[in-house]
Amino acid sequence: MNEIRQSLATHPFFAGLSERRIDTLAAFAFVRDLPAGEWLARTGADADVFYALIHGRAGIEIHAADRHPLVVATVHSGDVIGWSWFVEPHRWHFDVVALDDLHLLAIDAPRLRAECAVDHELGYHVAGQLTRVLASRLEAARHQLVDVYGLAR
Amino acid sequence: MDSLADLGTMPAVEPMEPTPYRVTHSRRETVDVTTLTLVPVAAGLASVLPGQYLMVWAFGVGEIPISVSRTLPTGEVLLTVRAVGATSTAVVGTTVGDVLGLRGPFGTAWPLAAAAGRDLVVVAGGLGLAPLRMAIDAQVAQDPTRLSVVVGAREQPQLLYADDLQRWTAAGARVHLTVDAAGRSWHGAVGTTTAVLERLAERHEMAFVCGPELMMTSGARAVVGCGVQPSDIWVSLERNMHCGIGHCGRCQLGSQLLCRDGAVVRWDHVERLLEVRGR
Repeated sequence: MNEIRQSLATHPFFAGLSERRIDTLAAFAFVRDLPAGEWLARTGADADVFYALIHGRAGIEIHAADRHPLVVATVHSGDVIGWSWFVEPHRWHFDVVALDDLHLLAIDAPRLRAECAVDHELGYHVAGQLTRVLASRLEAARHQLVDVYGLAR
Repeated sequence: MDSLADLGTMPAVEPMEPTPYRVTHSRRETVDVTTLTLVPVAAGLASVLPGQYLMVWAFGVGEIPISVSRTLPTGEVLLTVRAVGATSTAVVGTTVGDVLGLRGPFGTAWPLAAAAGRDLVVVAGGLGLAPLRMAIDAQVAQDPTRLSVVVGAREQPQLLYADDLQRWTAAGARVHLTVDAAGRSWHGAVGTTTAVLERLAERHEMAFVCGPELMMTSGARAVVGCGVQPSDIWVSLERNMHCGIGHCGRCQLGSQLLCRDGAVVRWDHVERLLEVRGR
């Protein structure tokens, strides 16, 4: 429990939350270790866990039948994995694979959603942090879309 | 020439007259990028500072600006060129023994003296690593522990100078690689150089940034977000450089003639200019 609490308190996503809210989150979070090559999420599956990455590197991967799986973004220590748990219909939009051995905090997403619905200050914090993550990934996706390293068009 | 002060920016020889250099080595870096090693046929040009560029004649085809990626004590210059148009394709297509005409060196240099004793982050995207290579070499020779290098490329095969990246890392510099997409065997990051900068828990006091303009704009702003003063950020801008000496005006950006006042310029001097549409 101490490790969970400490990891939450020091993770950038939860920075600024009160001790009381950290305690609340710690009650439905657990530590998970995953070896490289294992899946954290598969497209279409229920997004019932929200991950805070403590150590290691995970790949957000796109898979289609007519091409090889492609890692389109990596997630590193101090990042979070997953926004699908926050947005209906709560199903993963991408595959996520462990590229290194991972040490993570796994947070029960339905319970976190319920807590956010009751504690709006916590909900505002989570929504704001997730928006920051999404904004960063949207910018990266746009740079990939314009092929910034390609020839000028 | 407008004033005696202009003498300081002029090359030692007649600035519009190309000096013949012979290709002694050609190294394929990526599918469309080649590094040529050239030696002067007779007398060579003045010494090149990190970040300066040469105007390169492919005789009978045309002339283009190319940043110098390295110089050797023997007087050879290394030019890393991407085949894009007719002239660059002709330059890339030269073989050992062919002769090109060089003018210069022209333009401003990375402010290495100002970087001495400070924590420097170098951000390079794609071919933008070439104009930074000499500056990184100099910083690695001086104090690699105070240097971070962030390099971005479209995919792993497009990353330049694999040997240098390893050497800089071995010397103690923190080298971070990122690509736009990769397979699972890739050991670096996937994402933008901006995302890498935002994630780095490193202290920086100064930044050199070179690459596609969209990447430089985003990267420079991320470096500001890391606490670096805009006046301590330097970027390398390219426009339609032609004469190299600020006479023809084709490379104008606001009040600056980038062939002479650049390519290396201070971020706070150009940030607003880069927001102008249709420039």
